[in-house]
Amino acid sequence: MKKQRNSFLHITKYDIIILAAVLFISTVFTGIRSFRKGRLVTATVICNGNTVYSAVLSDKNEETSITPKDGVTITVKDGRIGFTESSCKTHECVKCGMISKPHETAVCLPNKIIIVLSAPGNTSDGYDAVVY
Amino acid sequence: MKKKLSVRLSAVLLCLCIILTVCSCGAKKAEFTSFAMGSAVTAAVYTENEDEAAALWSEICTAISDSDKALSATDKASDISRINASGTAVVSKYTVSFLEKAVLLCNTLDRKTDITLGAATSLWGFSSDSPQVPDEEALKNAVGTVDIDGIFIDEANSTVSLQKGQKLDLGALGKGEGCDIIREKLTEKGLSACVSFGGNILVTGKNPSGKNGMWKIGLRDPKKGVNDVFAYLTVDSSSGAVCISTSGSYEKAFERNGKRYHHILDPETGYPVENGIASVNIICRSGLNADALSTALFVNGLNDRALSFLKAFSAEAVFVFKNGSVYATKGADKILTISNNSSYKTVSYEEAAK
Repeated sequence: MKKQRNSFLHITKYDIIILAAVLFISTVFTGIRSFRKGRLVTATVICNGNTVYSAVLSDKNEETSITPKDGVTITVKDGRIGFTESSCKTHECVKCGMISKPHETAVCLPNKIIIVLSAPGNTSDGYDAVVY
Repeated sequence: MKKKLSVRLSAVLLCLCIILTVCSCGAKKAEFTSFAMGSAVTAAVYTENEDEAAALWSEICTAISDSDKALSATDKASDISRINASGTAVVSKYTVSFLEKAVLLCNTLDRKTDITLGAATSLWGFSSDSPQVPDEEALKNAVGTVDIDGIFIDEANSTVSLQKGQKLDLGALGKGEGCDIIREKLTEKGLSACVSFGGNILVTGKNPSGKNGMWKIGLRDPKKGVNDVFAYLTVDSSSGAVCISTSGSYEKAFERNGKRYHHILDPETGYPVENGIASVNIICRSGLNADALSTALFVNGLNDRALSFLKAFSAEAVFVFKNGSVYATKGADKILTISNNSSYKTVSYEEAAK
């Protein structure tokens, strides 16, 4: 006597097709998400321990100026950010120039202001830090 | 039929749930910043519990602040400032312990880095707003006070005394000490992290975002700006924390009458070292040792003695010369990659040391 196939567990080719489609869509979705995350560079300006500005640089094409402290100007333009004016004597912060990559930082030590750039996800084409 | 459909639907939903769970699992990057010891400190800590990481960072900031209060050169109430002001002071056990370590380090490194150089460095004023070339006679007198043997540490009474005219300068060691304080706290919790302490780098654990769990640490181009990189190190800290420290002639420099003066002084002359070296990058388990080695080897130059120092501390080095040559010790060479568009080229020890 033939055993009746248990139709409850019977996997057809349509099941395999559906499963493959779900896996493929999920993989593409995850890949797009990861790709986009890696390119979203966020700039954060911290003054005396307080975050005074935070924005995704790629969203900033028009020029914006931030004054975290009297005499200090930080400019955001064309996806880059940097100190353009400072009340400190040596202007080392201004010399850092306009930055845009996750490993780059600009610091004004006398005024205790730091610009940090970060990107979630894999920065395989960037650096985790720079020793100087 | 309906039963088959609901089973298939359940299977599809289960797959989606598994995929979404896998995607959202794993350590998240928590980022912190602070100012300490006259430096900016930034950290990326990988954690599944951001609140725990924030609490740990708060602990770290407290520990560094305590160290800064003891060792600061700018805080008049610090142990070091009080020793420098009156030649002797009762200090904390921490300061006693640190100075004992520092004296041992200086002696081991043939005094190529010397914490009693303070009288000379203060004449130059590199950390001030108006550095200047000191008077030759004054500098000669200041150099005359440089002598590690002049420090007397009375452990029992927690007192430190200096010879007349001597001043302490811990500038070559402070950031390294800061890295070690952070290293201990992160290692206790078993967290992966990448920390920059005023440009001294500390990495611990595997890098969740890095290829094969490695960290990619850029080396600053001595000829260009602070964010310009000419090479990088691929660092594996999965079996223990790694610290990277650099001493370079590009830092704290000024020009007078067409001549450029940088802040790394020769303890024997009191003048900035001029030996063709642009920077020395040290890779070592300890931040303090890395910091001391980077200054000492910059002063010493590349020779057999320099290699023996590195061996004594199980450290590796990358020497960068002003003429564009790069010498990397065996261990450093394995993990060093020079950028394709860079003008720097690696050379042999014989070529670099001549």
